[in-house]
Amino acid sequence: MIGRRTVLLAAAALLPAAAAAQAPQVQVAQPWARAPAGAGRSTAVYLSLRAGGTADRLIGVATPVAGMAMLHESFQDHGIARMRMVEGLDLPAGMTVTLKPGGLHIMLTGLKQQLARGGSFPLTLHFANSPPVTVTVPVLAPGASGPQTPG
Amino acid sequence: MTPRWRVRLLAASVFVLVLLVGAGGWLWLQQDQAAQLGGIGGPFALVDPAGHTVTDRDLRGRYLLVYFGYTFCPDVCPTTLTAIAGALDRLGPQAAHVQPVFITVDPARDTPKVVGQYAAAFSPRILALTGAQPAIDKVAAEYRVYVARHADDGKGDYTVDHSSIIYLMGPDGHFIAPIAADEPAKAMANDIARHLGGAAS
Ligand SMILES: [Cu+2]
Repeated sequence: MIGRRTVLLAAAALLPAAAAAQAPQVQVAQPWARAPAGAGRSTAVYLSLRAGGTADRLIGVATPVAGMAMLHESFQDHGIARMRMVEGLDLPAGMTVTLKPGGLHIMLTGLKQQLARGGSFPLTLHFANSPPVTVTVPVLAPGASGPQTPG
Repeated sequence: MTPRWRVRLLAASVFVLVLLVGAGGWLWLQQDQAAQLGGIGGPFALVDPAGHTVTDRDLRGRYLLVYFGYTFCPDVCPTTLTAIAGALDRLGPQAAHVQPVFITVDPARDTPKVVGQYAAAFSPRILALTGAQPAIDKVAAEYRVYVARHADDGKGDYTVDHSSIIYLMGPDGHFIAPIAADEPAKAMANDIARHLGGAAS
């Protein structure tokens, strides 16, 4: 009897913790991508990330539409546009981190299908602590400069 | 000093003198070239999307916004071309005097058709040019453009680091000023308008 109660109590104590671990703690907002211009075989995804009560880290990205998806950063070095791979992106608790043109981006290469303007595709983000989050990325015009750009 | 040593000393002196004269001549030539070209820019013969040859002389009489990039570029080039297209829209009637020119640094992948479709996706006003590798190398050197191709990923995909500056050239073909390529359209339009002065209509 005592043993059973103990088990129940232990299970009850575990429940909130398990629920918290399952709840997505990182909010992913306003994803968007430019339609590759012309016969383009690459593009970039931009979005914003917000970790909840505890800090987290973006450690991977994946999408079925591209041969390769990776976290990348464009930077200017004495007037030269360069890109580098970013191993992971720290997400401080309660802070919004935004990926936008000319800086941090999720680079997609080896596109397996034409990403047409007006369409969308799924993108999955993997985090060090939170469970993965899959978002639908709308494809905007090649000349779009932000998620709000109409059409 | 033995005669043998004298010969050696003389030979060494002659060698140093040749080096000095050579270096001086090279410097003089560099300066002369820079003066002739006004530092940045120079003659070129490239190919437009229709396959026709376009030279620097064909573009005289208008201001040029010369930008080097490549169509595989996933982030920076679309951002800059979007800003150029937006800046031209904001320039209004003044835009009639300004011709944006996109020159690829990756002619192996960027055929005339490819660069044409690419530039047109941002604005029909942008003239896209490509050419044979030596012609691209020549124009890149004239504009002092840095180009470094990254290793192929095995699937034929590679990225290219490149100078990200827009060169504002005058109607006479001379370099006027650099325009920052990472500015939003509004700031870029103001930057360009400041140099157009007499062209305002
Ligand atoms: Cu990139």
